Amino acid sequence: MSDPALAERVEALAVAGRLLEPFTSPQVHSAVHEVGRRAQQRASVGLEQTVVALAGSTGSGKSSLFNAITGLDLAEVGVLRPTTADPLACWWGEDVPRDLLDWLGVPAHLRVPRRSTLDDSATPLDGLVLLDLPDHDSMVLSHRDKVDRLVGLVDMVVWVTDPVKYGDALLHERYLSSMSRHGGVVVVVLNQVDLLSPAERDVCLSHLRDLLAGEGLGGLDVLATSAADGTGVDELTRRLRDAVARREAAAQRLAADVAVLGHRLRVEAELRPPGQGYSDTPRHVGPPAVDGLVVTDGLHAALAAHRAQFAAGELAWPWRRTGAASPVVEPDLSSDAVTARLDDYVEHETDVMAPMWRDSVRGELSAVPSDLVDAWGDEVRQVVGAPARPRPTWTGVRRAQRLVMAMAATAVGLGVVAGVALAQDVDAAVTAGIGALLAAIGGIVGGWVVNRRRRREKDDYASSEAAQIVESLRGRVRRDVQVHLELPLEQSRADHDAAAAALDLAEA
Amino acid sequence: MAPLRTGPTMSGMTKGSRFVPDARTHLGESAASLAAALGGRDGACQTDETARRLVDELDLIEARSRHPDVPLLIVLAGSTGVGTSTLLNSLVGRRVSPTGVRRPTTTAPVLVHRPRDDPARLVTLVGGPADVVADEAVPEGIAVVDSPGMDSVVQHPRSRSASLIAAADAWVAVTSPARYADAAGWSHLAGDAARHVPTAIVLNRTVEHARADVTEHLAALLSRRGLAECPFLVVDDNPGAEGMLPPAAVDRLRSLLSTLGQDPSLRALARRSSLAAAADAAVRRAQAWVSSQPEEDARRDDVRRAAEGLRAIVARELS
Repeated sequence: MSDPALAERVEALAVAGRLLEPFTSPQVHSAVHEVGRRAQQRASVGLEQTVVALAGSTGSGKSSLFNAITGLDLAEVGVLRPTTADPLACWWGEDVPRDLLDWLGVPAHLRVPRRSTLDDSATPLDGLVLLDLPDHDSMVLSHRDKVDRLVGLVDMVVWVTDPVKYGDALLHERYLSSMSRHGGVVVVVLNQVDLLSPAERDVCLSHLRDLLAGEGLGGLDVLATSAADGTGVDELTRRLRDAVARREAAAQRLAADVAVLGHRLRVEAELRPPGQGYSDTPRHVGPPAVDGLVVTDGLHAALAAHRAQFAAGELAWPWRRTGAASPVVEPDLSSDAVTARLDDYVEHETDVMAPMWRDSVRGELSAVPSDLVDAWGDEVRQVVGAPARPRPTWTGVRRAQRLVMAMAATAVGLGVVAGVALAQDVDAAVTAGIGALLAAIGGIVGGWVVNRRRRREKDDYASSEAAQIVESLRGRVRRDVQVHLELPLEQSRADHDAAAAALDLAEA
Repeated sequence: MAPLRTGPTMSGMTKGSRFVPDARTHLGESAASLAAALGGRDGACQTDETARRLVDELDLIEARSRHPDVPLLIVLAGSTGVGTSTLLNSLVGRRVSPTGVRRPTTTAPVLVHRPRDDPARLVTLVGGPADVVADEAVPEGIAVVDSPGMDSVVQHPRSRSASLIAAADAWVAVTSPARYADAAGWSHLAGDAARHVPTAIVLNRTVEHARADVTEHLAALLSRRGLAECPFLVVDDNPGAEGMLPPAAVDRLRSLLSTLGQDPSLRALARRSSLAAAADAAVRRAQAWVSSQPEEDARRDDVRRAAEGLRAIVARELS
């Protein structure tokens, strides 16, 4: 496409259309696709030409104006209505714009070249393709279909009306009202002004301008002409010449169509008017830190206490073995508070969106907070209820304990032997006694060392187990929040803002 | 009374319906019963806007059926810009309806009646704001109303013209060489309101060089749509005095209207058709009213029965 801005607009419209599809009608969707196709096709059939159509009611004088502008007497003019049944095309230039005329659907026998040796050299109208269209309001309804099609394709439309029909609802409601952005490529002509006095002409013109302004078409160009006496024909031809010279009409027309569709998308999806953007809204610094609410310090402490009790039990001296550790006391998970925090987060992040989009996202995510809280609750219960497992190193501790006890037993044994042998063999008794003493010392020292080891093991086990479990649970909570809430919300906001930005571009 | 020089006889105006003398009063009585079922003038319907208006209209139908001497209401109506105001002015002989180039020109109906006739009932028929003028020049037995133009972008005039045609005893459908092939005009001729109203066609503002061709073409179009029996008049264009035609130009139209106003059987035919059309519309609105009322409303069954009775009479009339 030769106009980069237009290509961007068309692409932006397509992007917006895709993003806003759930909130907009199928009609506007197919219109968006159609304008994209049309932009491609128009570029491919040749942007050197400017296609201008003379459109309007039966009897308003399109064909007469066509003849006046072309200087030829080609278009049929008559009293019986309607007159023109097929579009007639006159083209200025060297080479016949065949592809363009094919694309427009002009029958081969209705294509007339406008060049002759009698013309001014380098006729400034070179590149103009002028169409005389059938009417849009007669009882021959097939004419209206042809008009609808061609008015949708051409680069520029000259709407021809007259003192009788200029106020007709059909012209305004069916055609002009949808061309509010097309100021540069639409001209409204009040023809047959030769039937009016100058004062009457002013009345009609100013009333017509009022009607147009009232419909938001105040920017449209309005000319007074008379094909019969030539009034205004030169001025109209000059406008056409300017449009042809600028070579922008095609792009302008398409840009206006894109803008109109952008507006429709905006209205249907209930987005803010252009320029009012959505980027000024404060964003959360991040999702709420609910991990600490789900896996509380209280739980941490309960876990630590439980594990300490377990370790104490596992590592106790045999005579101190009590029963199994009592289960962890679960503090209550304040699920309502957590769910509420998460709901608030969703609400805040979506607050600034267009209503339909916001409601849709909130709907999609509505069950997520409570589902997550339920899942977390289940996992906490499961983890907390899982039996504690002893560490492998504890077998070493128990061996040490046994060794100590063995030493104590040896000490006692030797002591008994010493006592018994004292009466008979003092030496043996002394040896046994010394042995007993050594064993006793070994036992006491060993016992003290083992005890210290026991205590350290117990504390270490309790704190590291508890910390590990708590950290793993909290990590899960944070990940879940990120995956199921934060990322979807971010994606939604990005899409939403992208749609708004695309619309701004399309309507610029 | 001489028949028109060309074209069909006056009975063509009412599209071939037969004259049955008693049906009129039966219709009137039936309309009165329906009005009573709705609660009558002083009944509970005082607070119900729809019912009240319906009762007013039914009373009017009943009154018109009992008083054949109420002037026939003739509506001049057509697309904006065909010259209905000029026609009215020319019939009366003075400018009673403003003309001009601003479209639409007529925004409020202009009702012209003979001074001797009481305009009150006619104004009720017109149903809304209207300029009311008395003038001796109005042919006897009728009153003429110039309707706002149809199909212009200014909304209010469009719906007034449709309701005027529905309320009229006869419709003079005006067109012009510029407008005669417009789809909108033909769809009005085929529309509900227009179908039962006695109709005449006037091709106004006819320029000399177009006269023969356009007249022939329009006649063919009318014939194709089953309107060949309607009186079809051509009025020449006169670009001179704005808003007024020379009396001769509207001679035939005036004589058509006079005949309609004075011939008893024609009056009866016209009145009968238009009363049937008005009653038909009233029946439909009564049925819609019934379905919109809550189950417990005691009037529902009575109204339904009375509406059914009226509908049967109307069906006979219109067949």
